[in-house]
Amino acid sequence: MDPTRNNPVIRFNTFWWALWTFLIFGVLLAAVIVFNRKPPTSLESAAAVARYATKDKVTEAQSAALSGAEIDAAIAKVAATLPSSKPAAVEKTEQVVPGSPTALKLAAEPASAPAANGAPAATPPAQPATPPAPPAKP
Amino acid sequence: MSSSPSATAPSDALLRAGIDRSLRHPVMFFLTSGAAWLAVSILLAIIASIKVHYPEFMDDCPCMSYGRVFPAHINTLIYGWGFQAAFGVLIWLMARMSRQECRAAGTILTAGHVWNLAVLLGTVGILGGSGTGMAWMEFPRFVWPGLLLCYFAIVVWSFIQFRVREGERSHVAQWYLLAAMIWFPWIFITANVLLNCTSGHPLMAAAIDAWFKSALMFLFFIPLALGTAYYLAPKLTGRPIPSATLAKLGFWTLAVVAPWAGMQKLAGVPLPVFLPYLGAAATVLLAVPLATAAVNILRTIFSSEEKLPKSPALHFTLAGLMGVLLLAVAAIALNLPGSSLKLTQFSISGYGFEILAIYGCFSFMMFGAVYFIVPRITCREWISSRFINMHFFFSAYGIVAIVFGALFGGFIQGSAQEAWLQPWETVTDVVRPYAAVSTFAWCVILFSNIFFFAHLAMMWLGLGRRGPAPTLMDSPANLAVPAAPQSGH
Repeated sequence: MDPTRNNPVIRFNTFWWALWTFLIFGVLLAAVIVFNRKPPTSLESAAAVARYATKDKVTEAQSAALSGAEIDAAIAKVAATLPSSKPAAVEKTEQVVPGSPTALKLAAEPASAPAANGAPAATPPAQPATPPAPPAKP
Repeated sequence: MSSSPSATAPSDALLRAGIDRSLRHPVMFFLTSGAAWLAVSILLAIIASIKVHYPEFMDDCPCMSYGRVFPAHINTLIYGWGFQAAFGVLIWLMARMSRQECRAAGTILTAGHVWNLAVLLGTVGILGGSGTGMAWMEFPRFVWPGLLLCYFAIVVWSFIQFRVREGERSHVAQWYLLAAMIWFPWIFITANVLLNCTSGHPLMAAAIDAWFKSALMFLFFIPLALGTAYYLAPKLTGRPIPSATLAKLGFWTLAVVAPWAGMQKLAGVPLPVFLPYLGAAATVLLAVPLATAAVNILRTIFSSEEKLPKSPALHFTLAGLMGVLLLAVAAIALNLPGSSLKLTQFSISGYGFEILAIYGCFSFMMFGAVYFIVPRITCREWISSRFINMHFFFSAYGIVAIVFGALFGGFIQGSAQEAWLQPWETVTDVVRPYAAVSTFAWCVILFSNIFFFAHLAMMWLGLGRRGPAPTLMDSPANLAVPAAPQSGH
């Protein structure tokens, strides 16, 4: 055994040598990456720039969307208010049940009257055009 | 140092006892927590395997979907069990072979706790849907720097011990251990910097990932396994390694060939065509260092056959060496471009190959080392040879079923994939029986590892048997009833 080898100085030096040995490949790799950073030169690299921009937009949009937990929390909140709220009929004139009083009333109105609130006119739909009769065979 | 053997023997024993005492808690911590992670990993493997042949299993739970459970299984197997077993064995072997006590047990133990925390966070991240999707690197991105720092804090002391070792010469086991210690940060930093810190083409990311998997297997786990076997075989048999030339050949061919392997899995994709072919050639050539080292160590073991039926450590080491030979054959059989590669490229045989390397070779060697190391650092003998027998035989039968099922099932799956006139359901149908066998085999392995973990935990708690005779696998006295624990140390 070499008695001079096992001493604190050698241990301390070896500690740093070991760390350097572990890291040297990473340091070299980082240097290669940093010093080889160039603007895109190939078609593929140029396309990649646009692709990554799109990816960033999608990621941003996804992160801005409501999370599942927020939706779950909102559902509970809305559900708590529902029993205390009074149900009210929703008037939608564009949805008319055929044969109902509303439909009859609308049918009784003059056809030239403009439809209120975007409701469909009470005039019946036009008949589909009939194809012309084929010429008679001689 | 010219003292007589009679004078040096007590001081040697004192030195070894001092080394064992200095490493007791770090080593036992790594081995026990590694065994616990192994049980977790196997449980996840069972769930993943069930989902292959019964997809409705736990399908109402998103965190138990196959895409999350399978990566969680592999990552806990590698970072939870594999690395911790490697740490435990590596720091002990390096201290013993360098004849240096550990002076940083507290730092190592702290780093070990942080490592476990990182693995836990990573596993929860994968199951929670934050995995990266890159095989064997699925932990969320914030985990890898933590793992790397812990690795430095654990391993750097072994580097120092090697530097200040007694004597100028080094053992072949030390070559493998030292190389694995250095290779791992190179591989890990390279892959993580390229994949997590730079924006490369996704196709190259897949190629780097395939290289990382292969490099981690053949430049970290396999060298550690071979280094351990090179230490254990002569120790347990009392015979020297028969050929120093073969040892050097095996080491240097591994060092030269293994870094090129891995990219054959991308054959046919738009990469430079030499990359997959180079990967295939290197993987086939890996048979040379694997077979060379395995034959060299097997010759040591079989030169003393009378010790073989008794020693649990030798049993596991021998089984691991058989796994290395099978791995050498599989490396050739699965990766021949133009014939077998197209059948195995997208089939379960790749999984079989990985499990063979990580469990069939590496883990068996680690189990052998555990059965050798733990009695020395706890100053107790193993409690029950029945537990050891059950651990060995159930593990061996289980892993043989998984590996052969996956290798052959993969070939049949690949053949079904090539039969393009058949509907795709045929492919899933032919794999189903092999997946069922795999599920059963993982259950068997889980059963065996429960015994292993319980046994190990009891040893750490000081419940081991006190006595002059070691616990051997075929000892009738030990097969009867486990000895009562004795108090005191």
